[in-house]
Amino acid sequence: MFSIFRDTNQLATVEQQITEMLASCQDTFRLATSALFGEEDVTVAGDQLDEADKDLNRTERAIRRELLVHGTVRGAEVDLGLMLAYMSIAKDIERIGDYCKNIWNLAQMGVSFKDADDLEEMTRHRQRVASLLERALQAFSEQDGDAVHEMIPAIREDLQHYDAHIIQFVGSDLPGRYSAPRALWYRYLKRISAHLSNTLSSVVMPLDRLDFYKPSKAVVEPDDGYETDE
Amino acid sequence: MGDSGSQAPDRAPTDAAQRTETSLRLGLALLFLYLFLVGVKSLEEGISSFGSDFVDRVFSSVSNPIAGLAAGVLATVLVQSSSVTTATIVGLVGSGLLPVESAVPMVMGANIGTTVTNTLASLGHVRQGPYFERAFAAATMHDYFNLIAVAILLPLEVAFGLVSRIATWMADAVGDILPRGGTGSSPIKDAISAPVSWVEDTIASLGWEASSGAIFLTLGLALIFAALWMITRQMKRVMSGRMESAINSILGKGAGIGALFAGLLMTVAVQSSSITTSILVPLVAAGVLTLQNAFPVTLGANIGTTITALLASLAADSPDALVIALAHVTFNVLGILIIYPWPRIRAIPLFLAEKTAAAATRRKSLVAGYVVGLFVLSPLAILLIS
Repeated sequence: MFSIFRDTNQLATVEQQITEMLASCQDTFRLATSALFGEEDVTVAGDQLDEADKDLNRTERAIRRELLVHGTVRGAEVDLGLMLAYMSIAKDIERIGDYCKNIWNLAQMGVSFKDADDLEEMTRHRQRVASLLERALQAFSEQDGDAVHEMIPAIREDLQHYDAHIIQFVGSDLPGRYSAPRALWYRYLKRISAHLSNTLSSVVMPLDRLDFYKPSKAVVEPDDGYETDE
Repeated sequence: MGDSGSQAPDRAPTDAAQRTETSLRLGLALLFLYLFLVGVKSLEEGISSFGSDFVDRVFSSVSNPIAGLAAGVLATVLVQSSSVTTATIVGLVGSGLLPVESAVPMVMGANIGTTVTNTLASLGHVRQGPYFERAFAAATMHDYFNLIAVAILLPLEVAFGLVSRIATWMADAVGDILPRGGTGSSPIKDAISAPVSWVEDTIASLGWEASSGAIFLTLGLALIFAALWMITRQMKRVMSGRMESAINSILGKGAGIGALFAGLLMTVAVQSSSITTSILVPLVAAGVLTLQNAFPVTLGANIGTTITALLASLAADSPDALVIALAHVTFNVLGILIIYPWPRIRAIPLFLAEKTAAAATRRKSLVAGYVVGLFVLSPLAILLIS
């Protein structure tokens, strides 16, 4: 009976849940791409991915409830900025899970990049996003501002690169069954990277600039080499 | 992570810093608890100083149980705290000048009056239809529960002295176990009496004996009010993490006895049922907590709030102070035993709350009519008539 009265730091719990969501995204991305690249049975990967995606959605809803309870109980003492940031981050991570599922949907529709002529490039992008997910988890859990300032500009370059591919395949004269899955693949990679960038921006940006990263607006130490508004 | 809109995220305070803050706040809460008891003692002293003629005149108007009930409602609405009202009633009973029989309806009235706080809290959602409907239902279910409990138990108290008899029996039973009011000495009473004696000596040395009743009455009420406010404030800060944990558990596991105990423990910890019930209103409004799951928490809060009167009875001279404090417990426990275990009866306050909320959402003027009518005009009219 009294176990429900354990003392908790709810915001620390939420932060832990967000970290777990990010870790789960690594698995969902691995499962989805394994199916698309013919390394894993589509149905088996789909079952596991479905469970992981439901778990992400459940955690997002739990975070919303927990933040609502936190705000209601603490009233004026609440760290509203942090709560709103967590709401935003949880949404971004949940969307990453959705795009991983979209990648798996391509495999479910019969698309396989196993023997693709551009396999090498697609594998490179796949590894790049997998690596980003891993580094984002580390940067977020350690609140490593330096890593974030390094990662976000690099992600922005990736986004431009993915855009170029999307434009190339959407406007291509190649058959739809060749160009459409590739356009979608790069679109999904772009969205996953963009949501990761949004998540990472919470480490260094003020609340009103979450998702709108700009080094000159970031909250950094004056001697970090970045300019601030002050 | 950041802590505001203009700063980037910081981590939570360290465990050591939190432990130090918690210890300081608990120390402050204990200090204010002591001042609260000094306040009750001062109130007793003040009332006694006025003499029995004055008290007879004042309290003859509440000898009628319905008038006593109305006085309890109105007093609680005015101070927005049933704890202040019940502690004051305990002080009055403890001074031997307000009989238990007259005090029981006042305590019941305090139970009704205290629900005005969460009803007012629900008005924050008045512009958002579905939100408001859920919020108002969450607030008014407490009103209806208390009204039904009073409708059943007040006649039984008037006819048979049901509540006061049980309370007297309980007071006799626990009298030898717990420190209680009475003419005898105890370390708690000695510690509480010391500052009151000091104030008494100061008044005498200043030659203000003629005003001593008014001074003690004012001092007592001010100390009760301020100390309870500060205890609630400190304990809310100390207990916030645990309250969050308990509410999250209720959201996950649903209603039942566990939720009732959670409401009870939260309220005992913060010494305010209004805090507990007002937390429920926005959660029900947001749709993350159902009315059915919030109901037992509210009932637990009703029992939990009785701790204040029990604490106040420690400072009182008369054993009747413990009787009236236990009457508060008895009334709330009996109300729950009559209403909560039976699904069809339990559904009545929820049904009435939902219907009232639906009507209030359609016609907002009903909201003002309900709040002012139930909490101000009705008790005022009863008091004026009697």
